[in-house]
Amino acid sequence: MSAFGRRPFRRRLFLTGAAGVTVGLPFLETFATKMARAASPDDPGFVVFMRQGNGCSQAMSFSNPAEPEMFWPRNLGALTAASMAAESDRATSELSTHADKLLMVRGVRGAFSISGCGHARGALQALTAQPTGDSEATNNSLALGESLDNRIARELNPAGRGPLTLAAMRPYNFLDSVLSYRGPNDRRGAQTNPKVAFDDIMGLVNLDESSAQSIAARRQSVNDLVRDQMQTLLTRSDLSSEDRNRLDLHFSAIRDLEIRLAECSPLDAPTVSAINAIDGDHQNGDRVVEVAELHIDVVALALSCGYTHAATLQIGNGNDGTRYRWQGEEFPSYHWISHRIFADGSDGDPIPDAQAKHNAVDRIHARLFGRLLDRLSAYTTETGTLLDKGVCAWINDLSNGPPHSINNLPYVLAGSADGFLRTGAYVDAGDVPHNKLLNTLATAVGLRKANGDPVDDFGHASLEGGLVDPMMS
Amino acid sequence: MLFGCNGMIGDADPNGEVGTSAPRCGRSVCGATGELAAGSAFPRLTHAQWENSVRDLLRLAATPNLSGSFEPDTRLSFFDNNVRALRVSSDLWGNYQAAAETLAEAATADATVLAGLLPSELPSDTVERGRAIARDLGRRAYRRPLSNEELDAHGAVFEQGATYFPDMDPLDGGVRMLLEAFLQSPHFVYRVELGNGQNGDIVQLGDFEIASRLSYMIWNTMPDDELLDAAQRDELNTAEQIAVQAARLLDDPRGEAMLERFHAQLFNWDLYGDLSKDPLEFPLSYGGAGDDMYEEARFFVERVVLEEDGNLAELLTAPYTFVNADLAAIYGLEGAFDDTFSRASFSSAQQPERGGLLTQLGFLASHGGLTASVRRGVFINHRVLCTELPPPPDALPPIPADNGMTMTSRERIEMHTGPGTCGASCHGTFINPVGFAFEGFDGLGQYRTEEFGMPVDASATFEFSDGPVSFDGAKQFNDTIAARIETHDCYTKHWVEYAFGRDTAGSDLDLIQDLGDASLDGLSVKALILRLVQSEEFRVRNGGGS
Repeated sequence: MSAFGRRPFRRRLFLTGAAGVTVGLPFLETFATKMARAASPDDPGFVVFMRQGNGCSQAMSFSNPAEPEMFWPRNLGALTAASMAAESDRATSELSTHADKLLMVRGVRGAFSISGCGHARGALQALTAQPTGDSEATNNSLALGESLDNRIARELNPAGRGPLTLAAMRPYNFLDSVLSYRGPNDRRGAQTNPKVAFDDIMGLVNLDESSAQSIAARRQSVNDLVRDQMQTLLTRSDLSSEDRNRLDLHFSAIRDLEIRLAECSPLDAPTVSAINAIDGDHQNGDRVVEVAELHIDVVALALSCGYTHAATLQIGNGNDGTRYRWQGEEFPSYHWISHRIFADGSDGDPIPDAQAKHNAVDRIHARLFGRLLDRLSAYTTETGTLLDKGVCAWINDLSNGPPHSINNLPYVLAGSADGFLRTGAYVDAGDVPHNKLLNTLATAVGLRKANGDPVDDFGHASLEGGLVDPMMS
Repeated sequence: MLFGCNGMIGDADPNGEVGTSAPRCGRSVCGATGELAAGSAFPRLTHAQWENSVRDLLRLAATPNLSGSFEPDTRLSFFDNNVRALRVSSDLWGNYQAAAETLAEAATADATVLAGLLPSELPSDTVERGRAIARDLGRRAYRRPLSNEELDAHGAVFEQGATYFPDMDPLDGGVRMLLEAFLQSPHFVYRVELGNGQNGDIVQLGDFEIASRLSYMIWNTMPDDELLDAAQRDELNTAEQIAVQAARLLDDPRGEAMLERFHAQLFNWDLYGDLSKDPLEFPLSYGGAGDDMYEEARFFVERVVLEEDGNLAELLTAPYTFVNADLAAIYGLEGAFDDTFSRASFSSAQQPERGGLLTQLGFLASHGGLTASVRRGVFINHRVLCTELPPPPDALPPIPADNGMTMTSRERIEMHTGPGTCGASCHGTFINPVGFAFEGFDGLGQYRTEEFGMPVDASATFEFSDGPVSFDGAKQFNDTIAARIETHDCYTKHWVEYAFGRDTAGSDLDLIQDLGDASLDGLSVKALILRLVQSEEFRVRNGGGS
């Protein structure tokens, strides 16, 4: 298949449950009509970004003492279950059973250099490839453009529905939601409650048709009144541009009820029970991993329903201070571990075996990513699994421990986006800025420029465009 | 712009040079004064304001607690009401819609609640009845009277209740439809300030808009009937008229809640709830200590501001606090204490360094550890003195280990960041001197004179706008900042930010400095709030920028 050719329609999805029960999921949406850009694929894929903070346990030869490699595989080239399992000292070995679906990409650096609050600057550009307009580099710095998940949702989702934006964290009012941007300086708050996300998805599909028609008509009536009110406000000549943007955003958010023709496959009872049980305690810092697991189940549900084509899952707040548990031990703050000292800043007592602890936290994230891949692999299509239709990306705001640099950012991808991306491979992109990786993902899932060409210009206008050839099949 | 540490306080002079020799203005809050700062005509209700407004609109006994599942807002300043962060996204719109439907159904299913929403006399004619209900309920939902066109539109929505809720009484169904519409309207979810006329860029707010500005500032909710009635009579457009109503609101329990809300956000009391101390290192620590420390701070602010009619200096220096038996033990207070909180005075002999918010346990314990002096110093510079500090560089080596405990924390911090090191400009000049003043308190906030058997050194010198001042210990430091204009300018700057729900700029500077001068002269916090709401800025909005 040509790299940019049309992709086959997705007709049906099947969920293979634990007991081998297969549930039919009729095709939910005709995506072709939603592809405003001509010459785009009929059946777009999806991207899920699972974000880890604070860098990873990769080698730092320049540090004192030097830290050995504990993240990446030893050799570039083909990845197999056996080769990965044999490298059990590497965090990525946790994903060995998914080797044939993986694409690990090294040689990608953050497009904009960071100074000041590196966590903010790393995170704000992670999915936007944009700098901040702030002259200060504080935790309040914002990106100057939309994020890729927003762009994908804007072009591929049902009108008005944004990307699914989730976070497993205890908010601290300091670098909380960091990934998703609707536009310049307009960061989207992440939903921290799996129960709310689950209800949002299921609420749309759990209606019988007559109830749905009645509610749709009623909502239409209220929406008409509200739209009239907003139109009246928007026609005023004395609005500031900022207020006009504020009202435009609100106006475009008003949606009439979409009556779905099919039902999503239900999550299994224990999962639903767990989602209900964590409601109210979902911002407990001791349950971050548990919440992340449930968010992952919700993401898989959303993708299987065609609810969204883009999702982000942020694990931990901006400079993740979660106290992770590993093999019975409760670690100090992960942020402290990433600095190798018992402190958030640069001053503190050394943490013993800090890199090994960082590696353990990497493994926790690897296992969460593995759960996501397992869930998506459980949905089968006529040609493969749901995972094959899109791409999942385990990303990090930063590259490594104490320097918190953005060179050689760790990108672990899975899923070929219907054959567009290579899989079963560990490749070197060649020290390219990360906007090129985002371009590659955008194109992989079906976005196109107005003339039908691949998206090669996502992010800030100053950046050199292009895709990452070693990533493409 | 380079990221040196210029120590500029407040809004930096864009032409100022970077470096410790950069010129400093003589006031806490600097910058170019001039036009009124641009303000939004559509500040959205915070989630807390939404909860309170629903409670009051529906005349419920308590908030409905539905916003916990709303899309969370991003915090872009110390305060949750900064308009830049308050938008209606696609997700939040869905949240509003679902909540409106839930509330409308619940309210009309409860005969008592429903009765409270209806006018005392209802016309028999269906159309007029719908208009009457819309007029009465709409005045409170939109915090202003509805126009005839609006009454027509809402009356039509009321009449649709019979169609969409065929199983309900037509009146009940009509009210349900109206509530769904009111609660999703931009006139409910925003505090709309379209104004009563414009002169150049200056928009004069109407009486009802001032009523809402006042009510949401002080009560965090919609105006009550008395405030709406005053607006209806055009009695809310002069400084004196506003002051009368503001004083009434401040004397209400909801006014007390504002003082808690403001100080809790400014001093980040939310941090206290996460306190977890090693019981081996701090035997007097206990589960729930952080919550008690929050209560201590809350009681203290209420006493100083409301009961003593105190000022900022007293908030920073008053030699007493409120404790239960557990906190009293940490303070080393003698006397009979139990589970309840009671006032306790500090003894100059037993608690020589205590007095004011910054020597309370919550602040000290939530900024503890080896780097306590750095964390305390940064916090006070940022939030109490409004010093503009850049964030720390990304890559810094850790403080060298001292397993033999041969140095005090201060000595280790100074070796790493003090004069002569690469951290000298920020730490040595601004952060460390402030933080070192609190070296007499350990990680739980307990007073100490020694650390690892070595004497604690809490002396330092800080460069204030009127020159360097030396101090030894927290009490001298607190007395010093309580008498410095930058502290008062900073505090009043935060009040202006909070009152207007936006960043400060332009002519705010004049207001801030006027209030700062008065605060330094001893103006009480309550009087400061009243003076703020009587300002010209409180009655207008900058409508420019279109």
